[in-house]
Amino acid sequence: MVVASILRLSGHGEHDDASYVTDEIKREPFARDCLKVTEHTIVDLKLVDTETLAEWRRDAATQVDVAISTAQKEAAPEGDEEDWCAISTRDLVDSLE
Amino acid sequence: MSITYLEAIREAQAKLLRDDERVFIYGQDVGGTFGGAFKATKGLAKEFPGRVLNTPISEDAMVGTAIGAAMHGMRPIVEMQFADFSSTALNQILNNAGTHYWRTDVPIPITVRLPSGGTKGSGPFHSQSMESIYAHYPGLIVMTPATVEDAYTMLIEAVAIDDPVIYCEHKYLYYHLKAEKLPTEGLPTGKARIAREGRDLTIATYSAMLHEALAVAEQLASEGFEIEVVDLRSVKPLDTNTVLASVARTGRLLCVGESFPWGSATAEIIARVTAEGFHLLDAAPQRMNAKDTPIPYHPNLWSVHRPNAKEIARKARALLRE
Repeated sequence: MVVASILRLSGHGEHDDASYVTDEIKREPFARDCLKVTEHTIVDLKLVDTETLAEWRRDAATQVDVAISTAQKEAAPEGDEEDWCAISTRDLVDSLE
Repeated sequence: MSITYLEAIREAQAKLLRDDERVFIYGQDVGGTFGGAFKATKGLAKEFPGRVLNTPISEDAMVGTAIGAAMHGMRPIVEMQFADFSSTALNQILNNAGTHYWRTDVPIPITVRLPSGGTKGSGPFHSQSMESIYAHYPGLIVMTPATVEDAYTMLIEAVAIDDPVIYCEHKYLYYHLKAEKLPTEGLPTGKARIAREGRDLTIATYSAMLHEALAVAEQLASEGFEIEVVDLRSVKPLDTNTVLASVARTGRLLCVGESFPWGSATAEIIARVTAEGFHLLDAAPQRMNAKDTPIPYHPNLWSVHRPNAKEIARKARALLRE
């Protein structure tokens, strides 16, 4: 059996502050932030420069903000307006009430 | 002093670990200081060193390991973080644990705890009620406790049973139900309970839906109807006799469950009552389940996706008019 030890670098959600991840754990080799490791590798290999990497980060953050904003502007769904159909071939829906 | 449904589950496990050295708990983050996703094992790792064990994130491996331990005389309790995740262990549960006694005469006494059912905002992968899937397969016992008392006594009984037990504990009930004290004994597995007596309509249900049904019974009492509510307690074995006896008193049957409708426990009840007690019925028996779609995230949709007191009352009134 192969056991891979990895670390989730933040909590599971807003309800989870990840306080159970101690500083000692964070110093373990498996606790390295893989994104930062990748960025260092990219720069070391001269694939792109640091300014381009920073631009990629800004672009990704903008896309997330836009997605959240869009979702928050949408009207809340209502059950009586939902068609409750779980398949795309709608003529094959087996309606149960 | 009062004790919640969740605390009753923890206390049952503590008692089991205290009373039987063959018992151990196996699950993701159940050990250490974390005590499980819902804290159902909080403090137990410290109290019982070496017997509350963290596992890799592999439900398949968790159940497979437990089966091996059970074959060698242990009494493992496997905690799934959510019932939904047990689908990745179906091969071990259904094809190995569920068939083993029939194939070899060697029983597999494992208990798999499934935090089940929906709560607001939990979505399609943290809300499922899987009792009907497990009841469909041979070789498994499927418990669905609806009260603090049953949560405690049925878990103790689950571990004592020599066969695989799927113990469906409802997450909504974890904090919403309280009792003054823990019972010293309970009804045996396979025996349903009349949770409220009535003469006009039987509602047969289990788990969190019991409390929706009791609310409906209270509401309809003010309209002059007496609703009898049957708490099935386990869906496999299914206490058909108690349901039939109730229908003999009321003549009408409404079955309510939170699982998806196809092949559900409610369908099984209606099949049995129709086959064995057709002469007792004054109207066609009805059932209510969650809708036949994945479980929605949004509270507005979730609240109407599963049966609720308002819709159960509407259905009950229609049935009473027939």
